[in-house]
Amino acid sequence: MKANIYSSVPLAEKEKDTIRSLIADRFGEVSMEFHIRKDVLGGLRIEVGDWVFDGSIQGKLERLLHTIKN
Amino acid sequence: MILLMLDKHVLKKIKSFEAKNEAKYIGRVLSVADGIARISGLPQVAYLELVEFANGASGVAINLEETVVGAIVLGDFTGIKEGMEVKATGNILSVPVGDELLGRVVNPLGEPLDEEGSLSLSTRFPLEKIAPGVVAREPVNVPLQTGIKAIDAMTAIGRGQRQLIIGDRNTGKTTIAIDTIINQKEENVLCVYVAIGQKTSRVAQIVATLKEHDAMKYTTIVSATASDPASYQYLAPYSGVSIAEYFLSKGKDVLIIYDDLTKHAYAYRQISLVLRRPSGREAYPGDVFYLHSRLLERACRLNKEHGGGSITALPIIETQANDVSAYIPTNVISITDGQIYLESDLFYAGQRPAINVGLSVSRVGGAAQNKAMKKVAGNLRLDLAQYRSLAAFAQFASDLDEATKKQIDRGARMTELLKQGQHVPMPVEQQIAIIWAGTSGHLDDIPVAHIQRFEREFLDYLESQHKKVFDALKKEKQMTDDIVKGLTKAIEDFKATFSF
Repeated sequence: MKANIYSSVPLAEKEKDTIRSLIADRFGEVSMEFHIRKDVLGGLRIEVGDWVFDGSIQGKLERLLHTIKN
Repeated sequence: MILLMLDKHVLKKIKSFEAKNEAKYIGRVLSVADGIARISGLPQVAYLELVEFANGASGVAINLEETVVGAIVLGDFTGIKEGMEVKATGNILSVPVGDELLGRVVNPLGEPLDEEGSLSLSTRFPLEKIAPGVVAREPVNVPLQTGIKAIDAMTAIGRGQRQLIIGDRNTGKTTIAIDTIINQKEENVLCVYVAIGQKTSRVAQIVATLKEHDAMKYTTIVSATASDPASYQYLAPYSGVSIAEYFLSKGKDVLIIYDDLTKHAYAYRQISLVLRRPSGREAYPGDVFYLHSRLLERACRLNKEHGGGSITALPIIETQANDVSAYIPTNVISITDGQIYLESDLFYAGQRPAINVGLSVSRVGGAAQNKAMKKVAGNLRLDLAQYRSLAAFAQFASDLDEATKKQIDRGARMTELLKQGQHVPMPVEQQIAIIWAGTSGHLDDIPVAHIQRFEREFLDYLESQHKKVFDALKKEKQMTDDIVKGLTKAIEDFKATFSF
């Protein structure tokens, strides 16, 4: 299993450590990779296998659009 | 500026939106082909749960395997790509229900297909539901009048019965179903017509026919036509019966028509083969019997304590070259409570409806039949079946004994009497009067060529001169001595004026 962490701006080492320990608590030993992606717009998106945490502005906007459409 | 243009509805939605973080399990599309998506992940998805693709399309999980979920895509599957994110919604597949559906044409998801605006229904019923149990049911005891003489007299249908209409293409199967719907106008029965894999033009024609006869206002049409994906055709009957169950829950009597289950089986076969389920006879999967049995089992007659409504099902099966022993026809024959068997030979010989009397049966309808009808038409089915074999035999023999000759003459007249035009259902009291005239021998001296004219004029005469007899028949539902006397006098008076 591999964890991918997406953010729009580079994260500080301290922030990365917090994320690392939280993921390790939940999933145990997984390799982690940090990515910078502009379209995340803000916040974080973490993917560990089938599990996805979406706290990004992009995701929130998408969900707002979905609410309006339905 | 744009905000000013948004309507209240949208503003309300935006206000109610909470920008929360979201944590969930997702799946990814492995492959998509022929309306089936194979998805990896989604470990917690339930059987028949709705899943949502990232492009907004939805699907239903119907194959749960160790690492892969097979889902049928609802609607357009062209926008789905490999690797696309899929999420489980936690909702089981359901259809919106409500009284508003009467008079409407909808697809199997309950979305309107006509031009009468959107539906705002808040109640939803699940598509798959276990049929009512023994405790909730009671025996079929109220007749469902089809308005078709041959059916009401010989293979009577009761409310809550499942009666199969079977025959080759172009033998008038749908016509019987539509005539039955038209006849429910005065009967307080709501109708659901499910079109599966039919031509869209035909569905349009049926809607027009029902509108023309003022029958749309108590009818809902669920349509999955030949151009709709197999998933829609597969779901259509379940969606139709869910709508019927809503009316049932209101204590109503409902008539549902599945037109036709052969194409439904085709659609399910396609889905199963694409899902790589092991195939058996005629390439159908192993559970094709259960496909139809669980659907038809939902037809029922509930007792008073459980609301007292009923769902009568008229499934239609199309045979190839009159072969009733093919796989799907035998399955459905064994599930239903009887069948109306239509033959193309009869149809082209001008016997319409082209019902083969010998092979048509109703296993439970007799108990529900109108007592007067039972009395006058009790032996009609056997007599006619005998007449058919005698008539075939008599073609070779020139001199016949008196009794045989009489039976053939009677049979020819009764056959003529059972002919009936399209979309002209007949009230039961008229049916009883004219069948009584035939079976009691009053028509034996009328030439066969004049039988239909006699029928028309005699019924008009009864309507105008002897309305009391009809009223008594409607009220008593029995052949009392007074009614027989009244009818005998009427027919004797009428025959004195009838010329041929």
